[in-house]
Amino acid sequence: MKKTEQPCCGGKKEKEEVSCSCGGEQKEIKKYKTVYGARKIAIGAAFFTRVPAAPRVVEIIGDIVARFGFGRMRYAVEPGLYAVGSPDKNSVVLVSANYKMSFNALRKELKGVSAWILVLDTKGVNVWCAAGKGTFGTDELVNRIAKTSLAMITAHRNLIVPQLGAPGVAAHIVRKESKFKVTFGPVEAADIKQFLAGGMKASQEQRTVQFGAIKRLEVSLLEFGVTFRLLFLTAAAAVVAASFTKGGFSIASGFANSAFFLGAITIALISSTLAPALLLPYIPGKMFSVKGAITGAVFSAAYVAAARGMTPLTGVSLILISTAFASFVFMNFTGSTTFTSLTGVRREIAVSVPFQILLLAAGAALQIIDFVHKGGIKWN
Amino acid sequence: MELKYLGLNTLEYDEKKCTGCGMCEIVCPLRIFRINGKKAEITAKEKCIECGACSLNCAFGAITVDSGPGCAAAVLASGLKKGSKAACNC
Ligand code: SF4
Ligand code: SF4
Repeated sequence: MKKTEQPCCGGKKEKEEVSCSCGGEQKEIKKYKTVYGARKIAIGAAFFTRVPAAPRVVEIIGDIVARFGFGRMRYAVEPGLYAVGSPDKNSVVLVSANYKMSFNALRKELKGVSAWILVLDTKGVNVWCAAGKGTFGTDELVNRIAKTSLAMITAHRNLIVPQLGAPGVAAHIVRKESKFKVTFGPVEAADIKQFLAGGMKASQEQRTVQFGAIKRLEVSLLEFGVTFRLLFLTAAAAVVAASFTKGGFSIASGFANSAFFLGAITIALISSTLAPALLLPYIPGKMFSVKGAITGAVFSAAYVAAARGMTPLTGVSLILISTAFASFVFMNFTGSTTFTSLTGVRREIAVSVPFQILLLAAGAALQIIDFVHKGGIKWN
Repeated sequence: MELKYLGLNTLEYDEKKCTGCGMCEIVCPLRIFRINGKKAEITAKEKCIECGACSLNCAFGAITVDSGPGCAAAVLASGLKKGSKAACNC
């Protein structure tokens, strides 16, 4: 199974118009994550850190937690030069980002290989996204070569940069400024061993970003995590509110009374993240807002049909709101994919947002009418 | 199954400046450039995601593209307010 980079949004810092908000005001990382089994070794004035190829179980768990977006912006290792195996002055130098997941993904492919890993300071962001922002970039690479005294450690002047770093790294400029020659390696770390063994050649397939079902599921976990946190508070508030009964405060009756609402929220969560991401190629429409709207509508309609004792107005209102919600949330999945362009996304937003607002407003209006209809508010 | 988006992008290529060095063919993650004889050619412009790898790595300035994130959260955040806290999920 291939899994290295989480594709996402990039965006050069210089000609700034659209900035990835997670990059703009990125917090300085104060404390780097521990790499277990690491040992610092000095050679003359320079030093490097020797690490085992295999991450430990706690580190694999760390990767999984970061997948869901928890603590992701602080999931970083210290930039610098690392060694896997027993590299010498002729060993290859692989360039990576200091997002710990990227670093782990690379080193675990290097079992039985002796290599240097030059880790750039990408502020804990993976190669693809950092290249888009320019932090995985020409300047940082040239600086890091100097800071680590790489030229004293290797006899050769060759670097292997992952191909997805190319939006940030201009090979010809690196060459001019550092004398190091950049060779772009395969897209996925999983193909690196074959690349090294096969004379630095990558096949067409190894040079193409893939977006299969497993990849889609992986990256949608992030959207799931973010949306979950958003909805969790709403759900918790609903349970607490429903716990105040005539007989006093009871969490049990709170859950019982808000069961319908909790179900609706779960449906909203799944139909706006995991479901459309997995079913992406099979849902009609090219725009993500359309695909999200379809999943939201179908899932909520099924839920309404299965639930009992609901007024038709409530049902229709729920479907409208769920459709708007899934349409909007899934539109943001564009940033996690590998085939959307900024120009296209701008168009999609311009076309979709008015519809989303309309659906939401209609749903809310029906909800209010229904409420009044049931005698929820006394007019006098 | 191949996934397609809207086919909108700002990729432009000037064949006159191209030396056929092959760099664009290597870096494009969508495999859009191909060297044909002594020049590069665009095989599927509509697939371009505006990542900017090709233009940055063309030492001869033959390619231009207005690169940026194909990400709605980023567009919304920068459209509403610069530096606002919308979660761009990259
Ligand atoms: S990188 Fe530039 S010069 Fe080289 S083949 Fe591509 S367009 Fe031509
Ligand atoms: S901008 Fe990126 S996707 Fe578009 S042609 Fe260039 S390298 Fe390929």
